[in-house]
Amino acid sequence: MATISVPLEQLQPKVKRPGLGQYLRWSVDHKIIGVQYAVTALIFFLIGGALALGIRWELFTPDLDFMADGTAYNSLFSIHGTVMIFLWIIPMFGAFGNYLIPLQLGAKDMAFPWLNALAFWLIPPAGIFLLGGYLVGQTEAGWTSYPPLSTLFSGDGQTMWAMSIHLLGISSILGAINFIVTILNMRPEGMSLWQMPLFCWALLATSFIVVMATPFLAGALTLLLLDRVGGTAFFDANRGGDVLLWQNIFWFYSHPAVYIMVLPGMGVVSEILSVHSRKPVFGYRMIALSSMAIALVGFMVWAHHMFTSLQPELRIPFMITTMIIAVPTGIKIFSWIGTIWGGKIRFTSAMLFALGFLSMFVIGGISGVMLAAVPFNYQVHDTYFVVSHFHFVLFGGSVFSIYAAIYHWFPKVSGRMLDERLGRLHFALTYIGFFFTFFPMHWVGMLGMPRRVAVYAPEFQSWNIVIGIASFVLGFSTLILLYNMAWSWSKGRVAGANPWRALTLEWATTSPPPAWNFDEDPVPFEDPYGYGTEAAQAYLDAIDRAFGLPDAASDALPRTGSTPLSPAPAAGD
Amino acid sequence: MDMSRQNNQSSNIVPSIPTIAIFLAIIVGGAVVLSTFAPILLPPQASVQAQRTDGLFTVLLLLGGVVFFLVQGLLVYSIIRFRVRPNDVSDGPNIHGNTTLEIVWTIIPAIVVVVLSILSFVVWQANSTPQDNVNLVEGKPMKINVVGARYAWSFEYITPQERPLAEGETLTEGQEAPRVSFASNQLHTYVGQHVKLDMNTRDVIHSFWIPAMRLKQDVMPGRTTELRFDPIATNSGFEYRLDEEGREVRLTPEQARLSKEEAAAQGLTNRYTKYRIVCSELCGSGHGQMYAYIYVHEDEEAFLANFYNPQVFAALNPPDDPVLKGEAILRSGAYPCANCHILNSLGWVGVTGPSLNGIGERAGRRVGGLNGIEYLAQSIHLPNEYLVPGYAAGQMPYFGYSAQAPAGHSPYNVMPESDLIGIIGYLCAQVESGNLNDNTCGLVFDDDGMLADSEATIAQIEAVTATYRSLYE
Repeated sequence: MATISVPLEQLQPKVKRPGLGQYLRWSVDHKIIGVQYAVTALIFFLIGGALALGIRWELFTPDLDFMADGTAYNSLFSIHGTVMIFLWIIPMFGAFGNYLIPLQLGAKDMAFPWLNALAFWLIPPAGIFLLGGYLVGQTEAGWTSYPPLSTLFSGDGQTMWAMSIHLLGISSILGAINFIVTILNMRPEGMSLWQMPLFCWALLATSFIVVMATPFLAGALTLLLLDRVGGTAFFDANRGGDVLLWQNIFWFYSHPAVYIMVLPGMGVVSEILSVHSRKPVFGYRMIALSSMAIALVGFMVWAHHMFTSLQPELRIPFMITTMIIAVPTGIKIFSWIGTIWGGKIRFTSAMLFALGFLSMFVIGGISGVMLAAVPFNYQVHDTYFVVSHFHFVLFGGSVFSIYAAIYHWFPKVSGRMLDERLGRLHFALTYIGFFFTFFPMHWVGMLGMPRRVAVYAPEFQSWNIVIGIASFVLGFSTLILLYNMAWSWSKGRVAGANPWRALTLEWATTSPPPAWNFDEDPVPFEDPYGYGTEAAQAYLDAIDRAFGLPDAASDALPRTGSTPLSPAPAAGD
Repeated sequence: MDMSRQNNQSSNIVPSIPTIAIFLAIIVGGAVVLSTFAPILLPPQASVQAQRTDGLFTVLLLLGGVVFFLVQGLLVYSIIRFRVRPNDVSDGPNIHGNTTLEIVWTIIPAIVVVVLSILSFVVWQANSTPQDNVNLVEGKPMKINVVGARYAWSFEYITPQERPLAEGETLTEGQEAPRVSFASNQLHTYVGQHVKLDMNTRDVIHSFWIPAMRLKQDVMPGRTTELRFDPIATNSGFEYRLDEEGREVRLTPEQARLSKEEAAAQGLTNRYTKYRIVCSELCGSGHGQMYAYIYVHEDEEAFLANFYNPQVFAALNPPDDPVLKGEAILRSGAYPCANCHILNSLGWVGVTGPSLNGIGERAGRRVGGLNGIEYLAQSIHLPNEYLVPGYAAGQMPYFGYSAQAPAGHSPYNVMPESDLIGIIGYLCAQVESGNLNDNTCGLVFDDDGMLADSEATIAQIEAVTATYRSLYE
């Protein structure tokens, strides 16, 4: 592997983007499927976001005045949570996984293209089914759907909810099997597991979780459906059932599901921090292994969601396992700081969101450790403190990393750059809107405001007004991103094959890539993050020579390295 | 690889000793300052358990603050110090890791979480170790049962006092004499009492939370859970007292903070303070309205005088008059009506159900063919038979004579026929015109506002309620 590999010697002809019709039809091309996933997820993100703003609008006052009744309010946050988890974050990472894994591995497609398409096409009907609950009396039991509220009391929308999640679970499992087989079998010659991009490592760990945990969700949902429509009594204490049974099985899936939603984001951040600070990932092996450690320990902590209902003697053991999971998470955070430390940080929009991820996710991590401490948990369990905590993890973590990924990989998908000025505006509004929406919730929760209430004690109103205003700033910021994507899709600056001068293989082909991804089998660079070496410069220059540079390459972002080839200038300020 | 260049760059990225010292000072200083905020981030500390929990919280905030300022500080430092300079197109140094550093940042967090686990365990154990002598009243223990029902809490007190046998009631051999018991929608305790609650639910999962006590425990169908705590006086003292007519008076902060002796000298006896009890597990449309209050009296004497003794007296001397009896039942909170209905005479402010103000005037005109008593009985017993316009079926729970629901009706709450008679009597007396005889139930009142003939009224109502007995055969 000592030779410097030049992937392609000749300039590629420009590749046309697939037409709209191809995106609306059944396709087995992983790139089409990736975009289908992304657009579907973004639509649901807008729906979930609108529901969230409905929640905040109701909470501007302590009384029930915006929604018709308590049930309508309850279905608002039930569907908000379900949509955001199952129809936005999970499918959105499915989008990046589908689009990027074959490209990062230098493969022509996923291992099972047909299965891949099937996994996607289960999502739109499931989403329609979920929202269709509004036609028959929507669920009001929250996304956690604890019985007996969800079995004996909630409307028929609850049945549709359970069937919808069933479909989405099948979709997840099919997708995950595909990822695992692709990653383990389709790496190119010269790429061992330890030379694989960290995004692939993250998706590998995620997929193991999906394959092991999701069947438990399916089991729980089956029991719930049987209780609702089959006359059984698994969760009906009056007929010999047990309400804790649901909580145990549900969280046995749903805690690992948190890592299903966060690990891919961690993979994204590992990529972006390295590329945009022009420095190798610090502690590559530790980051890869900590993903696996989180995946493993993540299966032993589920009952920390049940500290106020679990048998008292079981609470301390679950506190200990929960505390342990802070260690691999800490390793990642410190490794990311090590990655940017001493680098040449470029404040691209992708990088801003990756740095924003770091600074917000760590707050979610700290509140997570606080929540693990059983005596303190009693005070804040099922309050706005918890709402704040998981939004720092799932918005400050997952969504920030999704935004970063959109700015980073949009040029590969569309062949065009997103507008950087709009990107910075988007980041500023998102960061401020997010922080002031969710940070004050810690305090509100500790002082005594439970979650999932439409009516609350008047002393909490002032904070809820602050939170409400910030949430509308946050909601507005999303529109900037969507406008940017729509505008840049046709009018953005031409990206070229490798606008960020990144070393992973998805950049060693045209943007967008041809239907078969690579004209010749690409040869990976020996180190996916080997920035700062002359060999890496030579490899990147060879990509530029092979695919050419767009005309206006230098206008907004100076390219790293020099073209044509010359020795890299010495470091200096 | 150009080693000299790499070494040159590596040396540039290690900050100087003064920089590190300033950085550490900011982290530690920031965390210490942050941890002093602990008291204002939490409600008053109204139990021994709250004091211990808050001690743990201060440690969590201190260590969380260190991590927060460390990570954000490193980020800000990196962003400023390592930002790319204009026209610099070079890469950063080719550094892949540092084993020593990686071991350090694995071991230190591991030690921190071990310490936190141990501290949490110690606090948890201290807070959950059972106290002897719980719920003492005049040296004898009583039992306090908490019942959660959509959407109200009720508290059943089984006192140590024996009660006389009711007419026709007999004791089998070995059976303990029955105790005086009463129900309330308020939880009363006093400083120095060790409280133990046995908790159940009538319907779905609820969660019993007293933010001021830092306690939370779910109540679940099919299980009895328990909660223990020891109320204490807070820095703000006792903010309320009952005046001679039994009305609540809010004291000034100075009056509230006086010692017991000083307050007594000023005639401010019978002081207490109260905190919200919240339901924190989603239980349905009225979840946000499901709360109650815990009253902490300043000592046992005040507890006895203002709560316990009057309740025991009322339990031993139930009124014959169905209107008064109904009022006592509804006031006790044994049924969760207050959380959905408005009724000014009892101070109910619920909003999810129809208003009950003046219901006695409307009852007989609601449904053709039903007189006022028949309408009220049906509305409580089989509430979905007639729905007030604007309200949906299923919002009002059934209240039947036994837990075994009649065919087609479920889920079910129990309301004995004797309670139903009293409640109907009381609701019939709710008129807004000022003349009780404007009621449409046919109840006759004399000039004092009392029933002209209690026994006849009971018979009149019972004639209606008796017709539901056949549902349970």
